[in-house]
Amino acid sequence: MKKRNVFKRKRDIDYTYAVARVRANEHSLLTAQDVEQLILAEDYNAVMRRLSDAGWGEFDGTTDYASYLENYFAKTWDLLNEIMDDIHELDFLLIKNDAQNLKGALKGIVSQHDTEGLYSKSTVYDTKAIVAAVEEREFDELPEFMIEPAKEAYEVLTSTANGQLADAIIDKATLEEISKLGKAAKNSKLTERMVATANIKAAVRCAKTNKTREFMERSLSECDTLSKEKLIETALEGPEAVLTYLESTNYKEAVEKIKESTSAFEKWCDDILMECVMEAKYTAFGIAPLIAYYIARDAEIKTVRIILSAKINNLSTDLIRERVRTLYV
Amino acid sequence: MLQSIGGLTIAIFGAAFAAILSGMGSSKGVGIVGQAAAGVITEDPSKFGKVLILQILPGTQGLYGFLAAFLIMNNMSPDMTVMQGLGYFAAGLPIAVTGFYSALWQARVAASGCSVVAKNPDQSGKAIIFAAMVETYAVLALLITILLIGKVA
Repeated sequence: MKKRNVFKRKRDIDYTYAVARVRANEHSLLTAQDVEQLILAEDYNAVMRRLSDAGWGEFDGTTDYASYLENYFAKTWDLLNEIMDDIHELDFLLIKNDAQNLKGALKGIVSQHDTEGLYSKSTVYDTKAIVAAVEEREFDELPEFMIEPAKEAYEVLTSTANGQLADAIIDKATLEEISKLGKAAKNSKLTERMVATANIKAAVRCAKTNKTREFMERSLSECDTLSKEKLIETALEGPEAVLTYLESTNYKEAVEKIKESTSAFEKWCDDILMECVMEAKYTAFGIAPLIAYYIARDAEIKTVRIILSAKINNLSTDLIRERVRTLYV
Repeated sequence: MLQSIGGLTIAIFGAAFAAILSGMGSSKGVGIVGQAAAGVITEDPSKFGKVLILQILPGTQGLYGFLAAFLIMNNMSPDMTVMQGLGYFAAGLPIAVTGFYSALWQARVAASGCSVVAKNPDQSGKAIIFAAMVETYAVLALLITILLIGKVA
């Protein structure tokens, strides 16, 4: 697949029109008060009705909120696609969806299940081309960063049927690509946090499930603010050792959250990304407000998903409040 | 060498610089704010009036440059000395240079102001004031240019 020249340097005023469009659209982002009203809503239907009133799309009584939210989120990508000269500057935000599709395609051919309809629509590369390359076992036709991990994952799936390891191999390659794209686009602070939090999650999970060194070597990626070697060494000793190591890094706040609960840690991971883009609220030029808008919509969707899921499962309002993400507005 | 060029030609250069540089600054400035304004009205056409004021602001420097060039032209004569020509050239410089830079910086403030209009339309007056502050220095430069032209004449 042809490699794109994504990062031709631009001046900050080249984004003036796009930033103004995004600013006007920030009006429709949910505020803390809106979220509180959703939390206090009587039930799932009441939440959906409120969302519908707020312009999220017509509520037809469906309980399939995943596709409802995906359709709404697709509008964000459509807007960014429309207003940016080169949408590939935001590839680092989206490439995880391509990786997800690659995983689906690989599992599809190995298990011989039809995976049509399971693929994410918002992607950097053409999903049909990725699926076709996998189905034909023509891995060299895949985007460059996927070629080796796809071959490796395919071999793992066919020889050992270890889906977890196959996923970890692709995740690792994706994180390395995100890091590379972030550095090239001068967004390394944000991508570094994305990679570091993913590494922390993976290390803690590996420690809890007693994974081998080889598994960890193949699933953790290199990053600047965490030592891969130390994460592996401590994960082999156990979860406590990982937390002790994290205490000495920039991510010591994660320790408390991990001890608290998985959902608290997941929330913290999203919140530190939001914190990273928050200053873009006061920036009138450059790409930062566009990235911030994407992250803001992403956090908004996650918050709504949590509320809807909680309403279906009759969780208390306090539990929902603990889980909602920090919002951009 | 200056003698061979002549005072009139030097004065013409002075007038041309005043008009060209401030005009360049203004055209770029109005263009930048225009993009931001277009972004805002794509989403909400009712804000046209507010963003139009912001777009006009960086355009004034071009007008000041035109005025300075016009005044220099009014004082030109074929028998001007080289010193007079140099005097007019120097008189045109304040509005030429300050006009160019102030238009660009004013455009940045005005484009930021468009974001204020987009998010908080009721605060648009403040955004206009911020952009208008930059105008002070273009006005001061024009004033000096006019006083200098008066002195040379």
